[in-house]
Amino acid sequence: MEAFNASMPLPFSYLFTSGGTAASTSSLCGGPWMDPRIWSRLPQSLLDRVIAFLPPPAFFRARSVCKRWYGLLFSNTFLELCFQVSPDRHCFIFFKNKIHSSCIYQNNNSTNNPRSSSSASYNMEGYLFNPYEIAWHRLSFPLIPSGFSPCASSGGLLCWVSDEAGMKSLILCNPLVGSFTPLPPTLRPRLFPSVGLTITPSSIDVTVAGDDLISPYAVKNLSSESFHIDAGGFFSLWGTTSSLPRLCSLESGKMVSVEGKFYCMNCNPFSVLVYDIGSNNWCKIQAPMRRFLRYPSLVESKGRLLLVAAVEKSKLNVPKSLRIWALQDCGTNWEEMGRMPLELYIQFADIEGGRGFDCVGNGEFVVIVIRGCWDKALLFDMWGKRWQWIPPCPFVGGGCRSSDCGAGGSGEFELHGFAYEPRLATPVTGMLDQLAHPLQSFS
Amino acid sequence: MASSRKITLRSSDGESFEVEEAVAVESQTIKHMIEDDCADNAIPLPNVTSKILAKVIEYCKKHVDASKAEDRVNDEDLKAWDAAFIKVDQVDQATLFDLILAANYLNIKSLLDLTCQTVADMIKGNLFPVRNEWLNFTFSIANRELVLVCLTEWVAHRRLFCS
Repeated sequence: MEAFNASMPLPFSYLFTSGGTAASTSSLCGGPWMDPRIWSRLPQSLLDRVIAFLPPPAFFRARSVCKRWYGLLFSNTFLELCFQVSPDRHCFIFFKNKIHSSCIYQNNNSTNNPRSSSSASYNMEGYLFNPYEIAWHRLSFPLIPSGFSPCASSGGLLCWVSDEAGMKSLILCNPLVGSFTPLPPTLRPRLFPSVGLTITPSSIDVTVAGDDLISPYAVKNLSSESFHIDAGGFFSLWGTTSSLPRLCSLESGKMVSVEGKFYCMNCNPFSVLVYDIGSNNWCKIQAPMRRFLRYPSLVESKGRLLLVAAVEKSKLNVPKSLRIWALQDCGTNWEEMGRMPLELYIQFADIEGGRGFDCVGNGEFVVIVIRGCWDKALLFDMWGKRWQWIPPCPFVGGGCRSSDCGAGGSGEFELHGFAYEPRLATPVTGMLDQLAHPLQSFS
Repeated sequence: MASSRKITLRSSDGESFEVEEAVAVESQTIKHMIEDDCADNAIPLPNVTSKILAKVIEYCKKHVDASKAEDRVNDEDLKAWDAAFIKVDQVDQATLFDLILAANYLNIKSLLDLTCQTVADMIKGNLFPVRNEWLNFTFSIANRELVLVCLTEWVAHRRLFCS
């Protein structure tokens, strides 16, 4: 442990970026006075428990208070406590995509770094959105090598997949503590497969589906491979394979995990593909109003699968709207849960201008990001039934604003996101360290 | 169904409280004492004063009643009740401190979590905002100078820092 100076670090940075909220500006002197005669008598174990209830940004600030609090991040007892008591925080994490006219999305390393993408200063950046305080934070991923893209998130971990065609390498990363845990590579060559991730306190499940390279120049959606490891000692290193249903197109590349199943959106015509992890089985279910859907997305909320899409019945006199359906317990029927208020939808459709949109959901929140604009996104709070526009991410600068791009033009880049639960402790990755399988090295 | 046996709890200052068994066993500590057959007479609680014990009993009664009600609408009402119960205006800091210790000693997880979350919110309100971004410790902590001030001094000098 390095020695610490006893001097006061000066100056404290009191800067607030525009992404902050009123809450953070008033906390400077607005916190309640804590009587040191009382609180200094609190036993260490209880004080640790109190600190475990701090949300991660406050926790990292608290680490500057004293040596003991600084060291808690390294203490297994404390991390275990965090694991038990920390409440769920439903946040989101977004990444920049450079937009290409051919609609194939690539990493934005060239936006961050005008020199070649393999230069030493490559540094992937993510933008964390906290819907409770409408605040943006920046997270960096210094350990992720170039040539990887984020593809899934679960239980406080983010999954990255290699971009190169062939056997896919995956990495699990906890952005708060900078951990880096590679998985063994998949067994079948693929181009841009869809990846699903489910993390529980005692297991890891990953499924990679579609885009099988049946020859160096031909891609077909044929199969999926699954990885499983759990605390009971059972594991499957991609040996669990299954055939995809005929004629499916997994364009979204994302899989949503709900109660032991992965769901992904299938296009032309719209339907939902379901993979049951336990039985290693794929099936298809119908989407609601499938002939009239535009830009459907799947999100998870409170253990249920939701479908968010715009509805247009051009031939009938039905007003256009954006609707949310929930999949019923039977697994095949959908029930409409809500709609965007009409006035807001008119405003939304005006801005969207036919470019399309994507949705991510976490807990009670759904975020709708308009394609082609990095600064226009809507937040829907399902429990409070509130819609609001999200302030643009203050860390995404340099690109033109969507208002500068004329009709039909595209912005320089856009944001794509994942549901994210910030967790200090993600002990399941310890299981991966025990695998004796030789792991690919990344230069 | 739990029997409606009455249990007597005696606080450190000698006051006796009679409560239903269902309420008393919200505390795992008391539950174990009853199971170990130490509950024939009053259960002595030498670490809890009557003032605090009264509040703890009030909390446990409310939660036992809420769990009996069938409809889950009570989840929101219960949360609101908890928030009002622990509000720092209603409960001064000394009482909050005593409640944490009591909840810990009596092993009442929900009360312990409620009180810890309340104190965490107070600490959060007192932390210096550094910058509006989360720190990746592998990246930045190694370069930071740290303040070697323990909690008491820091809290006492907070007024100096805020200006």
